[in-house]
Amino acid sequence: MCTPGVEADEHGTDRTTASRERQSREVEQFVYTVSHDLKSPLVTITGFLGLLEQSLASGDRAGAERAVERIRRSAVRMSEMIDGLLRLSCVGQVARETTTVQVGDELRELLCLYEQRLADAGAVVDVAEPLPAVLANRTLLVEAFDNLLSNALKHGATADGLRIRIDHRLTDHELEYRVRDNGPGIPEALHARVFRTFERLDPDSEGSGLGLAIVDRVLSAHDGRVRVESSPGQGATFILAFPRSAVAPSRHLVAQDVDLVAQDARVPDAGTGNAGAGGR
Amino acid sequence: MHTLRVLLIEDDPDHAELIEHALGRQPLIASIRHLADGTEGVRYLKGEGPYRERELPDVVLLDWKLPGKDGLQVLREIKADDRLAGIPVVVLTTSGSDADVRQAYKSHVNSYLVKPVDYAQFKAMIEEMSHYWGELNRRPGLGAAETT
Repeated sequence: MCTPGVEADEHGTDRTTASRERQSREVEQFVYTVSHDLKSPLVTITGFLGLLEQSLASGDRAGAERAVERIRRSAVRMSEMIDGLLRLSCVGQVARETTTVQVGDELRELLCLYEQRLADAGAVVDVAEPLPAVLANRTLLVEAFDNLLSNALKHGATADGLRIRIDHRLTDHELEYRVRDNGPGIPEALHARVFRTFERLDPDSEGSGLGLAIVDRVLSAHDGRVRVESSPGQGATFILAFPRSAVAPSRHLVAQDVDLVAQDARVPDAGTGNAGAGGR
Repeated sequence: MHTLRVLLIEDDPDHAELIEHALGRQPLIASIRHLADGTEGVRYLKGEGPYRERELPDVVLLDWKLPGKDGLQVLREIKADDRLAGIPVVVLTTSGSDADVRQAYKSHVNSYLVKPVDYAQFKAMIEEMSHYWGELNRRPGLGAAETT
C-alpha cells in the first residue's frame, strides 16, 4: 500500500532535502485535494439525495429518477478520483525500480496502441529518432508519454489537423524529451495550473484532471521536472526533463553519438514534421 | 420583494443546479444568471463581447476553483474595477483551506462560504445568504442605474 507523499528509502531515511520538500508539497496538495476536490462529488450526492427525498414526498417520479442518476454519476466520479489519487500516491514508490528505458522503442509500441485514435483524429505523429535511452521506471515513463499523447489528442487539435512531434535535447544539466503539438496553446498564466491535481482548464473536455498531474509526479519522482512552453495560437511543447546523469546507454546510439545527436537536436516546427510513427 | 439579482460563476453543473434550486425558492431572488467559467464571468461583468447589454448583479456567487480564470483572479479583477468593486462577492466553494480563505480576504472578498455536505445545511446556508445580502445588507447604489 502506498502512502501519499511519504517516501523513504529501505533504511527508513529520507533521501535529500529537495526530496523532503517535494514530499511536503505533495502532502499539502493531497490534503487540499481531499478537502476540496473529493468533497465536490460528495456535496452533489448529498444535495441530490435531499432533492430525491423531496421528489419522493411529492410523487415526482421524473425528478426522483433524475436525482438518482446524478447521485450515481457522482459516486462513480468519486470512485474514479480515489483510484486516481491512489495511483498518484504510488508513483514515488514505484519510481525507485529503475531500468534502462529505450524511449524510441517504447514510443513505437505506445503509438501502435494509439493508431486508431490518431487516425480518427486525423493526427500525425513524428518521432525524431534516434532518441537517447534514460535510466527510469519504464512503466511510469510510458505512462507519462501516454498522458501527454492523450492530452494532445484532447486539447491539441485545430482546424488544420493535429501534428505531434516528439524529439529530444541534451543540455549541460538535463536530458529533455519534448512533445510538441500544433494546437491552440496555453496562456502563460495557466502554465503552472495545468499540472495541478484535478485541474481541468477546459470545462467541456473529458478526463479525470489527473493526467498531467501524474506526469508531474513521475518526473519529480525521477528528480526531474516537467514544464510547458506555449502561448495562445502557437501550440504547446511539454518537456520532460531528466537530470543529465540519467542518460543511459542506448541501443541505437553509441556513447559519443549522444553528444553529436545533442548538437543536432533542434526543435523544428511541429507543422513541418513529416508523417511518422503515428501515421502508420 | 424581488430585489436580488445574482450572478453565479460555478463550473460544476450539479452544484449550479443545487444552488439555483435553493435560490429559486427564495422570494427575494429576482434573477439568477449562471456562467460556468471565470473568464466568461469577468467578460460578463465588464460587459464585453456578447454581454454588452448585461445587467449588473447585486451579488456575485463565485466558485473558487474554476476553468479559465480561477476564483481568485475573478475576485481581483472585480475589486480592481471601479465600476464593479462595489458589488458584493461571496465565494461559495468546497475548499475550507485556510490559505484560500486568507487569499480571498486579502483580495477584498465580502464573504467566504464553504458548501456544507449536508443538504439541509446547504439549503439553509443559501437561504441565509440571500436573506443577508438581499434584505439585511445595505448595498451601494449599483445595479439598475448602471448597466454599462
